[in-house]
Amino acid sequence: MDLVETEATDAPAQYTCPMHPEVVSDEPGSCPKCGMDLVESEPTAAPAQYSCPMHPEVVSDEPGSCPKCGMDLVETEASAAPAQYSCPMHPEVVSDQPGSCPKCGIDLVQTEATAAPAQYSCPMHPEVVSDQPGSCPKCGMDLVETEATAAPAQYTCPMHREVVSDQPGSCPKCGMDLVESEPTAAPVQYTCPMHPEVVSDEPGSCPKCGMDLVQAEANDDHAHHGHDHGGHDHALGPAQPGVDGVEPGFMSMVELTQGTPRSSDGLQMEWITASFGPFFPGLPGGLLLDFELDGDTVAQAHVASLVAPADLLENGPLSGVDFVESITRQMPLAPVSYRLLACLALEAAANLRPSDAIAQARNGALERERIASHLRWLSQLGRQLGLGRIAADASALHQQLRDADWRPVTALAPRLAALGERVARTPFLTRRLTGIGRLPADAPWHGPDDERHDAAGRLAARLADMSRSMELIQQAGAIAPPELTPIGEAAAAATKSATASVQTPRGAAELSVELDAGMVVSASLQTPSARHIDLVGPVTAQRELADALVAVASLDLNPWEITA
Amino acid sequence: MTTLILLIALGFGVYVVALLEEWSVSGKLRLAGPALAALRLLGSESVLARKPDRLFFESAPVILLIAALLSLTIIPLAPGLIATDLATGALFFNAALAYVLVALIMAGWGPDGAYAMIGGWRFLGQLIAYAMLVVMPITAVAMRAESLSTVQIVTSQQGLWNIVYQPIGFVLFAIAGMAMAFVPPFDLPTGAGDLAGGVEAEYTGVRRLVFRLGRMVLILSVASAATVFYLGGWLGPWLPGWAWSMIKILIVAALMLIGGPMLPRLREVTFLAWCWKLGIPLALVNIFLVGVLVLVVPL
Repeated sequence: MDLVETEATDAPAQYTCPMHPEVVSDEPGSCPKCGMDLVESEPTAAPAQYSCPMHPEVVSDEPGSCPKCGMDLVETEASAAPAQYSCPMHPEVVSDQPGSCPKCGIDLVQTEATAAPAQYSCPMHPEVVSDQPGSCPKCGMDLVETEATAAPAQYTCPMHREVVSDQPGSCPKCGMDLVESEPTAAPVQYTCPMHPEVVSDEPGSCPKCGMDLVQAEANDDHAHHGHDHGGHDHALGPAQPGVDGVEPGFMSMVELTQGTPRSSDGLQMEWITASFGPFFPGLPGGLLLDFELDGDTVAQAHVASLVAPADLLENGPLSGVDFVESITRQMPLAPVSYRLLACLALEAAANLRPSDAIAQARNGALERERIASHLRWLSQLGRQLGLGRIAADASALHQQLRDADWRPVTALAPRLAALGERVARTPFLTRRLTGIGRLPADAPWHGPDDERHDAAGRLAARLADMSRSMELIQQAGAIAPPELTPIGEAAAAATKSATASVQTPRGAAELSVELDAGMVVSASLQTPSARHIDLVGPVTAQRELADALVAVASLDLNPWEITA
Repeated sequence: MTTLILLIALGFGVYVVALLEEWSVSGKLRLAGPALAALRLLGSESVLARKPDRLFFESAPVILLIAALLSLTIIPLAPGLIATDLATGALFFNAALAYVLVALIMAGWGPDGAYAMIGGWRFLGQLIAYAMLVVMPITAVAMRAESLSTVQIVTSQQGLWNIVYQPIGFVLFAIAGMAMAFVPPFDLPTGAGDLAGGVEAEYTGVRRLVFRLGRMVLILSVASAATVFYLGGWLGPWLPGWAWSMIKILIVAALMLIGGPMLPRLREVTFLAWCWKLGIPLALVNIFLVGVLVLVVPL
C-alpha cells in the first residue's frame, strides 16, 4: 500500500485502558486491573487549554469567554499533575473523576493540584515566612528556603489549649506567650464537661449549661474530674427539637433536670455538694461533714472524722503508765475523762483500789472537765447562732476554768450561774432550737438529754449538768488529775482483764483492758461519739441547711473519739 | 455647698455606724477601729474564687454601694439640705433599695460557691416579705402628709411625730429596714455561723471593703429613713435642724445594731411566716387606722 501523509506527532504512541485511564503503557497489551485490551491514546502532550483567570475550574479547548464572569479565557499549560476534582463546599472531598460530592451532592469542580510553592524563612525566627528570598525583618539574616509545611505552624497557649493562632503572640485569656504546637492531625473537637453529647468544632459555650467547652481528649471516658454531680446521670437524650416560636436548643426546666434526683417537696432545684468541715465556725474542728444540698435542703449527709484515733497498742504491749499517757494524748478534747477511764480500768484489772481522797479529787477533776467541755460547746453553738456575746463570755470562762485549781474554780461559780441564767433567758433561743435535731425516743443517744429529745432539750440538759457539776466540785473539796496508782509486783504477776466506765461530758465511755505481767496487752475502747455519729443522717435529713448545722452541733460530736 | 455638707455628713455617719457595729459585736468602743479596719482591708491580699462569673462578681459590691447611696439622696437633714427633693421621694427610697437585692443575688451567683449562692437565695426568698413591710408603712406615712416628698413628710409631723401617730407602722418599718440591711438577727445572707460569711465570704481585700462600706451606707440609709418618716426628721427645739437629724439617725442606728448579738439568728422559715402571716395584715390594719385618723382627727 502506498504510504500516506500523516501528521507527525511529537510524542510516541501510548496505550491506555478505556476503563482505567490511569493505566498507561508504551506497548499494547492488557490492562492489569481489568484485563481489557489497551487502546492507543492521544499523546500526553496535552492540547492547548483555555481557562478563566478568575475561575480556574472553567476549562475549554477553544478560546472564548468565561460563562461565569465574562472574562476572556487565557491559554494555560495543561497541568503536569492529573486533574483533581473537589467540592466547593467540602474541600476535603477530592476525587480524580468529576462527579457529585458525597456529602452535599454538588458537582465536583476541577482544581489545580497544588504543588506547595517554595517558602523562605529565617533560621533564627521560624515564624517569619516569605514567598520571596530576602532578609528577616527581625534580625536581618538572609531567609533560607524551607519545605512548605503541609499545615501552617500553629501557636497555642499552654494553659488554654483552645486558644489557637497562626501567629505567635500572647494568650488573650492569661497573657502567656503562645508556643508552637504540633498541628493536630485530627480536627480538634470541643465538648462540655457536663454534657458530653455536646460536641463542637470551635471553642465556645455549651448551649445547655453555658460552661466553656474544653478540648476533648482522644480517649475521654467522661471521668468526673474532681467534681460531684450529686447523683444525677448523664444519660440525657439529645435536646428536643425546637418548638415553634421558641429558639432552637431551648430546654425547659423539665428537660434540664431530667435524670437528676427528685426533690422531696416537688420544687426541683440545683443540687450542690458542699463541705462544712473540717474547720467550720460552730462545728467541732476535725469533723468532715459533706452535705448534698437540694437547693438549701439537706438531701444527704456524709460525715467522717479527720482525726480518728489510731490503735493504742499498735506498737505492742505498753506499761500501765505509758498506756495512760498515750490515751490522754489521743483525746485532747476530754483528756481528764479518758485518763481517769484508763486508770480505773487498769486498777480494776490489777485489783487495786485508790483511797477515797484520791477518788474525790479525781471526781473533782472529772466534773471540772465536764463544765469546761459544755462551756466550749456553748461557745460554739453561740457562734453558730449569732449570739456573739454569749459565745465570747462562755469562751472566756472556759479558758479560766479549764486548768484551774479547786479554789479558783469554786470562785467562778457565780459567773457560771449568771451565764446559765443569761442563756436560759435569751429571747427566742428556746423557740429557735425547738424541734431541731429531734431524735426518736429509742435512738442510741447517751449524752445529756431531757424529755424533749431535741436541741433545746439538750441545751437545757447541758446547762443543768454544769450547775450540778459545780455543786459536786464544791462537795469534793479538791481537784487533782488522775494518776495511776503504782502497780506493785504482786499485782503485776496477775493476769486479768477488766472493764471500766466513765461518764464523759458526751456520754458513757467504756474501756476493757487485759493485763499480762503488768503490761497492757489488749484494750478496747467504746466512745459515745462513735455511737452518736450514725445519728447525723437522721437528724439532718430533709432539713434546711441552718437547721441541719444546728442539729449536728447539738450532738456535740468529738472527732477524736470517732474511729475510722 | 450643700453637696459638700451632705458628703461630710455621709462620711461622718458611715464612720459612726461602723463604730457602733464593732461595739455591738465586741463590746469595745475603739475610735480608730473603722479606719484601721479599712486600711487593713485595703492592704490585704485579694484572693479570688477559682472560676467566678466576672461581671457579677466584680460589680456586686459596687451596685450595693450605689443602691445605698441612691436611697440616701432623698433624705433631708434640714430644710433645703437634701440631695434631691423628689416629689416621689418616699417611693424612690423603696425603688433604690430594690437594687440591694440585685447586688446580693449577683454577689451570691458570682463567686460560683455554695455558701455565697445559698446566702443570695435566702435574701431573694425573703425580699418580697420585707419589701412589702417597707412600702406599706411608707404608704401610711404619705397618707398623713398627703405627699410622697420626704420634706413634706417631715413637716407634716410638726404637731405629732409619726412614731406616736402610727406606732405599728414604725415597728414594722424598723424591723423590715433591719432585714433589708441584713443586720443581725436578720443576717441570713451573710450568716457568720452557718454560712461562714455567705455572700460576703468570697470577697477579700478591696472588694470586701467596698461591700462593707455599702452595707454601712445601707444601715445609715435605713436609719435615716426611719428618722425622716417617723421621728420628725429635723424637728426639735434649741438645736439647729441638722443637729437633730444627726442625733436621731445615730440613735436609731445604734438601737438597730445593739439587738443583734443578743438574739439568735432568725430561721428563714420563721421570718417568712411572720412577715407574710402577721406583718402584712398588720401593715394593712395600720393603713386603715391611719386613714381613719387622717379623716377624723385634725392633726
